[in-house]
Amino acid sequence: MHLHRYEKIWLVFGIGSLVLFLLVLGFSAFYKGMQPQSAIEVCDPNELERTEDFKPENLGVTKVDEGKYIVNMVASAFNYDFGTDEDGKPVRKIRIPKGSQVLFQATTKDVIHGFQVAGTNVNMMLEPGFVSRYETKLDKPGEYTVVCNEYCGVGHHLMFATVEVY
Amino acid sequence: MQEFPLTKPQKKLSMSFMYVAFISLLIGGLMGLLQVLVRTGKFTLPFGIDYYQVLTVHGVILALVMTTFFIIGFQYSIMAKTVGMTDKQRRLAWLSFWVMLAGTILAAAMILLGQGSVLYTFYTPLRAHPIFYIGLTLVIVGTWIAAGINFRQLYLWKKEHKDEKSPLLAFMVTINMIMWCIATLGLAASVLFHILPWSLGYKATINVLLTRTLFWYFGHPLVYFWLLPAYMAWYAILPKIIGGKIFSDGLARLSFILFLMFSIPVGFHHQLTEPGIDPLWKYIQVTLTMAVVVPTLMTAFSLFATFETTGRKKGYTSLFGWFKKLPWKDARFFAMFVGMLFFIPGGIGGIINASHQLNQMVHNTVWVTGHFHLTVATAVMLTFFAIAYWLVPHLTGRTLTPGINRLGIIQTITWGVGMLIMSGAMHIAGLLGAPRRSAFSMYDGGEQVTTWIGYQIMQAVGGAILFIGILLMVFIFIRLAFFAPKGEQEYPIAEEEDHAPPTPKILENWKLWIGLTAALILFAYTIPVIDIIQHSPPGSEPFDWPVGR
Amino acid sequence: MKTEFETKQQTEFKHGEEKLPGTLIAVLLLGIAMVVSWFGAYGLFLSR
Ligand code: HEM
Ligand SMILES: [Cu+2]
Ligand SMILES: [Cu+2]
Repeated sequence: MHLHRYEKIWLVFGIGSLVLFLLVLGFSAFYKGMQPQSAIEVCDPNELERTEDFKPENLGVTKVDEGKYIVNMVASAFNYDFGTDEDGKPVRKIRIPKGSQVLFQATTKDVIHGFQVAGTNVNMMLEPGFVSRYETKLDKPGEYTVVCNEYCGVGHHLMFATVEVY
Repeated sequence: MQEFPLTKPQKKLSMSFMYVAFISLLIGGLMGLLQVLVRTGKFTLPFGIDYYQVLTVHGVILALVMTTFFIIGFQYSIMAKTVGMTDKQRRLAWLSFWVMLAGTILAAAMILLGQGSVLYTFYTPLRAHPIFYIGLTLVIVGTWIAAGINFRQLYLWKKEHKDEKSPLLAFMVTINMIMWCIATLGLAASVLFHILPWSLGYKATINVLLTRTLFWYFGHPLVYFWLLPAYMAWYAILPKIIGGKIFSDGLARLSFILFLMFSIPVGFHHQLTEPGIDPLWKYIQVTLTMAVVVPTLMTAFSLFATFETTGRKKGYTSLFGWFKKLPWKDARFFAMFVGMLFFIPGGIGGIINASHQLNQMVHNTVWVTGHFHLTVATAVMLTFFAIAYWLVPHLTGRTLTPGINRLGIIQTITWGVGMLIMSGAMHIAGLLGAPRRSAFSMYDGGEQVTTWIGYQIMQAVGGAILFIGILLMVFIFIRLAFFAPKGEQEYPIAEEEDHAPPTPKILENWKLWIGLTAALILFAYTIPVIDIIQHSPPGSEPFDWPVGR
Repeated sequence: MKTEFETKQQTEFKHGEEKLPGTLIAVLLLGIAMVVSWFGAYGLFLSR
């Protein structure tokens, strides 16, 4: 089968670009450790209270070291549970100093949900029976809206929270 | 090249599919309009209708019903035209039609009764009424009957024409249906062995990740099932319309074979931010996804080359002079061309979506919605409309009049403008973090949310223009089906250049290509699926109340 | 005139090289758009 000379040029250019993309992605993923969320840890969605990460007193923000934080959250239709504050009220907003390294750990009690801190790279699927984890550095101060971005039912658009970086 | 004139009963068969397709377009378009209006925050649905019920109708009827009916009907006409259709095959084809229609009605009834608001992806553990799944299964079963008929048609033709290559269009239909059969096996496995018994209560729990993985094993080839019929028109019909010849029969076939091989083992690019799947396997499937871009690169070259050689033969010698010579005033060409144009940003966006960690930025944001309204809802849709402009009158024994042709041009422009606005706004809002599949919400009332709402209003403007486009298209369809003057409308099938080099025989070695396809699928899926099954968490019980059941 | 055109056609096919400079430029522009958009998106990802 005959390939026109220009088509060869085009395919070399096109396939070359695709390979370049893959090299950049592979390098950032496997060398720099920038993988999309891919935690492989199962849990029992009905027994989350008994796990270390998701028992009620461990939900929300925990400072683990200078500039290092863990945020634990349990999603359910149609709520994000970041634990309760001193007055026993559910936490709707979490606050994190700017420049901190933050590990988000989340899962769901019931159906599939999403967890996206809008405008950042924190974007994970939450599936029953699996823990989702993503670590990132929050550099830019501001208020970020957390939204559920996977359809979970009639109240899907009412699932939200706020992350404030100060 | 031998062609078989379509008989009256064959025309009636294909036309029945067209009726369902265009009624679906109208209903789906109306839902689209309601969605953009709700999302402005200034409009609420009457009678307590739920947004997600509307969205389920939109997704199911446009992505699954409209496309599938159009494609199967169009493909029957292609096969009857190029390789012939026996009466027995035609009767069986009617069975496929009725099975698909019955399935559609069952699923639609459940959605309308509020028993199926699970969107067209029906992710578990949300549970719809079992009849919803049965309905969708029947639609698929109908397409299997169609596939069997199409394979038989080509087989019989081949027996009569031992040493000839199959007609290009018939070859393409066959590739599309092979791909479809392999892909729907995943969906069938998911629905028949997991979802259906679970929704009926025979199985207490379900493996959520497994059903999702099986869905996306099907879901990506699904988008190529929509796209390939458009490519058929671009490769093998468009040259005839612009007065040229097929640029390269062999390359056209090769690109279809590449689509067959690479469009299936790539489903993980829809699951990149999911837990429970090893990032290495995600990356491997991302690599395979880049491979499926290659046939599209080839297609882009072929199309430009078709334009250029045609123009040059007509005497245009300057660098881009041939471009002016294209039949811009012919709606059969113009709609297709605008579709191709929109496929450029659509395709580029697709590469970004599939790019491993870049997906994190856009996954499940309304950017994705913007993306597939460029690809399926514009590139594919406008090409289907372009096909309808000659196919419908050909089937009804009427003609495309200059007046209707002009309406077709206006329709195309309307669609292009509306989509530019709606999809553009969706892309930007998505990058700013606005989620997809969401009714109006102020969320926490933050600053980000306020910017999203602005773009949602823009989407409503674009969406309203698009809805006018849909009304226009339905009007054109009705004119062509019932009122246009009687006559003979040409079924344009392009031919090869007289001195075209022969097409290599290996391109029709079905066993080889199907074997390679199977090998690639096994490579990409075996280990991760075994992992998913072996390391599965406790199964999930069904959830009805979140979807209002 | 006509025969001349046809022989030209034939020789073109012998070499299999129709004149396609416009096509080459068009696809390369397309390729550039692809590379620029992709790196734009990658840059945005890194900046977040
Ligand atoms: C009047 C024209 C149209 C308008 C105004 C429109 C509008 C929309 C909007 C606003 C959404 C997103 C809703 C959300 O995520 O909350 C959507 C989703 C969708 N649209 Fe359209 N659309 C139109 C035509 C089409 C066409 C022609 C197709 C396909 C052939 C199509 C296929 C889809 C699909 C598959 C979805 C995704 C549904 C889901 O996420 O479950 N749309 N449309
Ligand atoms: Cu949700
Ligand atoms: Cu895909």
